[in-house]
Amino acid sequence: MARVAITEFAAKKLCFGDVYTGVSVTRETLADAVSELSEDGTYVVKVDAGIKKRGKQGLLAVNVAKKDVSRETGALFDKGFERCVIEDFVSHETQDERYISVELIRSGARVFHSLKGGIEIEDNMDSVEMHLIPLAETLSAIPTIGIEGVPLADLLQKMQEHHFSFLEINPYLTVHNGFTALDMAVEIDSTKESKLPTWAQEHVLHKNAASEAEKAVLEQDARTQAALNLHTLNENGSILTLFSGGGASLVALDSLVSADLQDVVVNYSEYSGAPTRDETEAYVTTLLSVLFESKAANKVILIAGGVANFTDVMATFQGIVDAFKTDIETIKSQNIYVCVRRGGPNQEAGLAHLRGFLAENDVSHDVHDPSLSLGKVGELVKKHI
Amino acid sequence: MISDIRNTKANILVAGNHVKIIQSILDFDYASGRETPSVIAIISAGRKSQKFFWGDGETLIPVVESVEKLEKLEKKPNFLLCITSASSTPRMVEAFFAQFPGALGAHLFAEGIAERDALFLVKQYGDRKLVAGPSGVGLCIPGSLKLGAIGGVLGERLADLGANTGNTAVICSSGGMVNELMYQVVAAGSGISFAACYGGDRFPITSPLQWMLEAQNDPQTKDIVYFGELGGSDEYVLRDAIKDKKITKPVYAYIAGRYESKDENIQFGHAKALAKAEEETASAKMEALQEVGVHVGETFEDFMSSFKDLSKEVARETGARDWKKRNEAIKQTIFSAPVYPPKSHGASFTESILLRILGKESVSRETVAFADMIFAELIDHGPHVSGAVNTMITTRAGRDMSSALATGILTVGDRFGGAVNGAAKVWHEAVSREMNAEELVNDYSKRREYILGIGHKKYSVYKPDPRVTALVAHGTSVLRETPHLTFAQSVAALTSKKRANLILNVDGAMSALFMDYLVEKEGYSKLALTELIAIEFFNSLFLIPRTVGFVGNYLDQKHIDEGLFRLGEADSYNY
Repeated sequence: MARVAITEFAAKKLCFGDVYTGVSVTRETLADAVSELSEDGTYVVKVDAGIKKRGKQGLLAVNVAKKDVSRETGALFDKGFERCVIEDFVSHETQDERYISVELIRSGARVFHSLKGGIEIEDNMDSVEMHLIPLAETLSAIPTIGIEGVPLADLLQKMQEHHFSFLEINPYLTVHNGFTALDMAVEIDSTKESKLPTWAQEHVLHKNAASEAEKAVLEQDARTQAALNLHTLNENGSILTLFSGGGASLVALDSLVSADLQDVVVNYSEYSGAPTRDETEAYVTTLLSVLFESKAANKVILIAGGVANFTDVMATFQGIVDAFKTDIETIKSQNIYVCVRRGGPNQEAGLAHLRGFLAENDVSHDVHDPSLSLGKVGELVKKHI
Repeated sequence: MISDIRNTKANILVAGNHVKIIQSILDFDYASGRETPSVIAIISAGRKSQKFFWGDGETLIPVVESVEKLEKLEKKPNFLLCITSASSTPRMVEAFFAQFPGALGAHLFAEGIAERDALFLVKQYGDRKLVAGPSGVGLCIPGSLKLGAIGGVLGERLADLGANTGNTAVICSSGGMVNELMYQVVAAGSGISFAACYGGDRFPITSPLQWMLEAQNDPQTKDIVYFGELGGSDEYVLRDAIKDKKITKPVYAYIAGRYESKDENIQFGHAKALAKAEEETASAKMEALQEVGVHVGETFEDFMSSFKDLSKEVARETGARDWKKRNEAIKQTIFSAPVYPPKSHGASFTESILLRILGKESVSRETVAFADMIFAELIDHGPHVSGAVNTMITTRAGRDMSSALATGILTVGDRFGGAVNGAAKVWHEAVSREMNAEELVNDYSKRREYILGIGHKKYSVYKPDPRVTALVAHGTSVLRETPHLTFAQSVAALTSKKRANLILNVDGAMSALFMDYLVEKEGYSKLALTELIAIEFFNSLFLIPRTVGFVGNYLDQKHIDEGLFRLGEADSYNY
């Protein structure tokens, strides 16, 4: 699994508990949240979607009076964001802004620290110091190094408790009531997402489904033991990819890049972990709908993978044929070419099943077993673009 | 370390049951010429052994419930193949290396092991053991070790890896691609010295650099084939090691994931496969390796064609079998049963029974004599007992001998006759744990449970059971030590003070004494006795002779034949 960002609100609440007084709002909860703000305070309103450099993009407003919070936050929602965070405004000098980040690495925790934090940190790279907290100290959350004004042990402890892999606070202040985190970003270890408190699980920033098809695949993925995904790269591309996971998917995609086809790849999609015939059919039907919508003149379906150890090639290819069958008229009318390279249990039967179906329906195709090098699929596809 | 492994016979413990992977290891072992499989045990539940193919024949692999239960195996494992879930894998690895500190390595198959769990394992074992993963397919040293699905799970390529060794090390992030590369190396006319799949996770326990150093230090390896992916900075560490001359053997490399997206956040298949910064892209890493003289394939095809330059020596493993793959027509058998040697020395009935039920080739005269005594004592105990009554009723209902005997035998259980095994369990557990009689008695009285082996309906301290007296006299005159009997008697001494009929009964006496015979005369260990109790062995000491009694009950009733038996109306209380 991988690392995934959580909202700033969740990051701060998990780290600082009740000391942190910010509120997370959606368009629906905004009015209630504002009504509870104290009259005489001023506030900061920020988009809370794991986006960096919000200041430079106009995704936050500072020193906002209570009466203006609704308007300012509403303006941010109007830019298409679902969630914002409202915090007390802390008046301070820019020169008091500090930077710290902590990331888990193989040898422990790598800490970057600078006394010149803030939005211009990248212009102040010379001021950034790197410290390494050794692995044993990282895992026990008892560091022997210290950074003045930073509760480093507490931060490590929270990182451990909630499985943070990366934490960045930029800027923080030490002049205002001790350590104060102004802006904060956190990535957690996605394998431990379910161990977060229930409320915080809602604050994990999964990639939003950009299209109906991506949404459908996310739903299909949630319903199976297998892994299914769809990442649309170019909705008007020519090549629909159907990869079977792991390093072989990367090699097949590289082969397209080598053939100079980078810009016409519709998607990056993987199915792995032995999906059933029915699951494969539903998944492939969804992918086909993306290709059918493309405005490209020439269209190709590339089904490529290494030699599976466990995934039954026959079962998954039956699912693929089932999906093709339903949409065969569109496949024919759009003159789609199908290119296959795959091996694994029951490969002869699976490949023959698909080859037979495509031949019967006069769909142009090349169906290969692993005797064709995976790096050659790019050349085959290129002839049809 | 790789050459150490070549010189050590691999004994693998598999945690979790994955039939295809285990079978693939056995096929590899068989082709390599091993006498017995490298998989010496499986940790799983619900069975004690599992059958696999061994070449074109079959073999049974022991299955145990936990690492701790492994002590009964003769061989000690030196590798762990961990196929358990991501959450239980770290605990399993820890337990394994704690129990077998001399073990050499492991492969962790699970995907989705938490980063901190992986880092903990890096801290504990990163410098001391060879651990492939988390994720990926493991480690293969042709002719010596197949630890995981690596090299595939089907077909002739497995036999080839088992039998033939070469000079090219393959080090690869991806499970699918390592198999592909191993195949291509062989197809190019070269052979594999070893292949390691370090996995696509962020923190491999043995790092890519460590695997590369293994290749460097392995005298058999001449060339190194390396496959990495975008994301992370391992290749820069490799570059530095090459620059510093820590790695001097020729390296052929490819870094996959050259698609460059406007959307910087594409997470490809593996956890690590995400380039967050320019230097983590595939092309930047390829360039870095190229600068220090690594043969980097511009395209995957270039990479493949560079394999023609690999060293071409391939050696056949000494003693390798000329076996390619199993005939597909061979089907697994349904049952497994040991073969006992034919008896040639005219053994008595009792001796033959013991040889059969103990599964031994010989049994001492003393044990035979004692069993003979038990059997003779237990054949019959009158017509009043449950089993006899059932047998008689069935016989009078006009049924045949088998049916009548069956109904008699079906009454045997904890309440009637079947307490022998239960009593054996009581004595054995207490003796093993070095409890004293008082503790045991208090324990049972607290729980308000009967102690099996104690108590009789008819006999008491005033009227001792003559069968018990005879058994005890015989046993104690033959055996030097009787720990089980002595314990049982001290329990009875306490219980019979509370009630006169709470004496040592015949079940209790014979189970205790028979265990004492097995220990002293037949060399049984504590663990072996535990095993016998677990499979209800001791009840056979009752069932075997009493079967004769039930046959007798049947024959008696057939001779007399009083017609169908029916209870009178007055014999039941109707409420």
